Amino acid sequence: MKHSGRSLSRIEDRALVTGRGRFVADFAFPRQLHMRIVRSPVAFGRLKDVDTSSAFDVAGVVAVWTAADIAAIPPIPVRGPAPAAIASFLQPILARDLVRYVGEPVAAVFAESAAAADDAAERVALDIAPLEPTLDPAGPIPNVMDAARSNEAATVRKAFGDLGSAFQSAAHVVAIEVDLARDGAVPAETRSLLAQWDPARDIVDLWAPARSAPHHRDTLAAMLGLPRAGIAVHVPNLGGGSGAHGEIDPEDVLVTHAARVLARPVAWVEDRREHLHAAAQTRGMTAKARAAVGPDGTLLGLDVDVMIDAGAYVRAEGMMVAEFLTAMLPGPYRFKAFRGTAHVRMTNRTPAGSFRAAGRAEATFVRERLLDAVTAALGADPFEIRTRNLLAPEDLPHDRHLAALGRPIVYDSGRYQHLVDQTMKHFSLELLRQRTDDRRAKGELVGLGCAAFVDVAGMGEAAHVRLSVDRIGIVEIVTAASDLGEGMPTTIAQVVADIVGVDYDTVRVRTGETDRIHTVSSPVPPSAELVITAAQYAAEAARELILDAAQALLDDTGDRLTIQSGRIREADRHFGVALSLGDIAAALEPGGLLSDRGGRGLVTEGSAKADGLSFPYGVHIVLAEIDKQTGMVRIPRAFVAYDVGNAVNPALVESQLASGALEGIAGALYTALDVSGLGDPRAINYADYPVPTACELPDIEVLVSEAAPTPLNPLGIKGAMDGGFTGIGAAIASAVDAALSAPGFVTHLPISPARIMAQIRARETA
Amino acid sequence: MLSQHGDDARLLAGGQSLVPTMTARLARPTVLIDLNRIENAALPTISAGRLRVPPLMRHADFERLSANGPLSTILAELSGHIGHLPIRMRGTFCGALAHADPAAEWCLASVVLGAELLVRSMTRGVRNIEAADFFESMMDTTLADDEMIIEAQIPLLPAATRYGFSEICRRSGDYALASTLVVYQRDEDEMTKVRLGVGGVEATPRRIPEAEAMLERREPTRQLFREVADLVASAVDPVSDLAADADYRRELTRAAVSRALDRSFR
Repeated sequence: MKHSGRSLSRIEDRALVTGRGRFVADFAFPRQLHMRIVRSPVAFGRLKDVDTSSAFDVAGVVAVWTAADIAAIPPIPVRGPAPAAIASFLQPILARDLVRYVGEPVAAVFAESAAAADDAAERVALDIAPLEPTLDPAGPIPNVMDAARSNEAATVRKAFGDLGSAFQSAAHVVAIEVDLARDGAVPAETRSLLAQWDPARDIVDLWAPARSAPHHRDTLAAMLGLPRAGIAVHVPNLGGGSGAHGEIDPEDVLVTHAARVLARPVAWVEDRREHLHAAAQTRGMTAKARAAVGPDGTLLGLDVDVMIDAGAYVRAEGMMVAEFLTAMLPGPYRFKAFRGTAHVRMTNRTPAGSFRAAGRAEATFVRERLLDAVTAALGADPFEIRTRNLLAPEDLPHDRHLAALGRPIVYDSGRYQHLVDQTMKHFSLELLRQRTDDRRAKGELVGLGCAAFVDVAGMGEAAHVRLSVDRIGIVEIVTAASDLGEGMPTTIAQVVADIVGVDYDTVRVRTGETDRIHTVSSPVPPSAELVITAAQYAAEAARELILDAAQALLDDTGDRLTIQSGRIREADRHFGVALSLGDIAAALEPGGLLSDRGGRGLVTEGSAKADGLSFPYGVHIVLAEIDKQTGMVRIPRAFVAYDVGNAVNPALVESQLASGALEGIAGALYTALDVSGLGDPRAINYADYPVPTACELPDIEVLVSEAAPTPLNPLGIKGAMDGGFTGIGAAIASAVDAALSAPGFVTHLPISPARIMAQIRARETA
Repeated sequence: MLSQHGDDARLLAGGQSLVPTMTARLARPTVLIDLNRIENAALPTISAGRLRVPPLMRHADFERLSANGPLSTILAELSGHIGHLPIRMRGTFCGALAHADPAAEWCLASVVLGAELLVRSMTRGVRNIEAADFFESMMDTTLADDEMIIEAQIPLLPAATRYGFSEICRRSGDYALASTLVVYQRDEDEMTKVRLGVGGVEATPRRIPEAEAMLERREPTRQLFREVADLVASAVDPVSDLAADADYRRELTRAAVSRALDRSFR
């Protein structure tokens, strides 16, 4: 039975759907302490004093730490390349002289119970002299109160071609200004951590939703002056991720350090209110963009200047968002010249992290809004303008002569127009267009919008996998890579099962364990496709080992042996056989018949190194309906077409794309993490942060395309995690414009129904 | 116990508003008085032409009221709009009135349907309050610290009753940004005994007498409904909050009134 390419059900779901998944907060140890963070209540201020004395009046308080107690611990480093000058923008674990955002950790309370820790935290008295906060990333005036650093942590510049001549020779120059509200991934599981120090082994075991367990281990070890072997990171089930957790945050450092210093297990579970203002946020930006266009609608030049709201400190993601935002601005289109500048601006807001389609969703929103403006300026058809300018198959591979985080942007493979055509045909979109036009002619506020984009995948640098078979023939795969919930264990099992010749649901896949496998960390977590490739290599090595051993054991010199359902038999005989995988494993172990072959048992390793980024691509089309009486937008249909090169499990790819699209719709119409004029967070619970429900959301109609396999891995796989999200906001903006017959109306996400209502009224009056 | 502990004590019935407030440490009662073990306080009775709602009657209990008739139909429909199923299984009618969220379905219904509340204190005994006089401002009522709602009485409605309800929310289960309940008798071609109220718009739900007058003894037409919706939209003084500013809430009020009226005529 072949497994690859089939929509098999997930092996990891057995536990999850029966309520037996284990998340960090499900683990507990005897005598564990509970940590509560005392956070800054103001956006900006001078921290004059922290008085912890009253906290000890609460029974069960063991320790209260302020910055002075952990003075030796350095600030949180950036992973990946960053300018040297970034040092003054890094976040101390606990605030020292200044507090720079609402929610900044100032003190940590450790107590016998969570309730005691909460009570004690309230009694820690903060003496803060408030200062005028900076909240607008585009604000021109440097903050004189924060003399230690500039308002701009870094400026990222990308360019190719002669921009001046492109704009001089243009028949039309079209310009827009757009912005995005801050948002975050806001997963169902808030951040949670549990650390326990075992003095006998001298190891801190840390249960954490780490995106890259080896990187988590190595960074914490370096910050705390511990050997790499002194920390073991375990990543259990994750309740959603999308970027909100899994980086080194102040809490990770505090919990790990406290477990050793206090010699007690330490648990921390973030509450929702904390999560909504203290966990990493992203997306906030304002952009000025202009396009140089030829008389026939040919794109000549693209010039974009972006102010990114990086918040109060540069966190672990460093320049990642700025780098990918600028590098991916040109998208799937041909341009003679391009310039993209991103100003990484500091504000008195929660430090920015990353979120699904980091940088690419922003880039797509800016570029596709600009293309819609070009369409309007030329009185053209939005599909036609895009089609005219797409890179052609013969342009691929296409070197953009740009790099992001030092890695070249060379589009590896792609048939962009083919995907557009497939999408139109597969979903009968010409018909839907006509119907939508007819409905609008009858006075309904309905419109179609589209966005085309190129995404980025394969960001990790290396992955390592160990495969072993025990004496009863069970195959186990171990990787330090984390299961982010996207189905990686099942996909690995499918690939391995086909090669080794077993049933996929007997393969055991262990993920996110640094003490089961030695893996050197890389700053960027390995992509699933890299881990799958490593597993493929390990499985191929195992197959070779198995068949060699079987030939020796059976004294069979021919190459007629095959493996089916864990049994080795002769390919041309239906009966008789044979050997089981367990027999082979036993023979290869010490004391076995073939122990002279190394005596290591049936164990193989696979390593994969990234040869470059891969570039999946997609088209998003949505239908928007506007309620004339309320201005509220409904998306009755949303189409996501995406090329992943090769879908090992099409259902899992579809679900990734659909979930991304739903998150994208939420961000385009409902959710934002705004602050008041004083920098106070407006959303503190799920009533203020309105995640849409199944009642508001459509079924996402997905087309998984496999037209352009990547040459960068043997299976041709490109990642699918972000592709449902990347273009959906831009497509919704376009559809709302169309529904209102008001080109350029949407300049901001999320789209406000009150603004739409005002537009409808203004139209009636006019 | 209430009279003993005063505002240090809070009554716990369904806990769907109180418990989240306590979780956020916004409410910090030192004494919680659990009403849930009071016997015979969950089932409604009917007497003297009134539905009598006891303190532990849950929102979900209104979905399957045994009594037939327009009042049951109206209350069943409204109950379906309250939060989500787990909330409806626990939260209580009387608790919702005491909490006095201006957008709460039961607060609007009790005002429009002319409910009367029986409120009791240990020292002063029972007093009766008209729902319209009960709500003072946002989340605030005339209930004293030592008083508890022991019953809400809602007059039954005649068989010829027609009604329409509409609430506007961003998401299913959210508190309404604007809601309207309209109830009238169909007398030949005319509407009589019209009661129309809006919730979630001002600090307390209230009836709009100008609108009721405009509809009284008139034939229901779409044109009239539009005019009434415009009238109500200009008669209200909407609150502004994060979810909707006053101007937008006025628009949503117009939409809610217009839809409630349309639905009454289906």
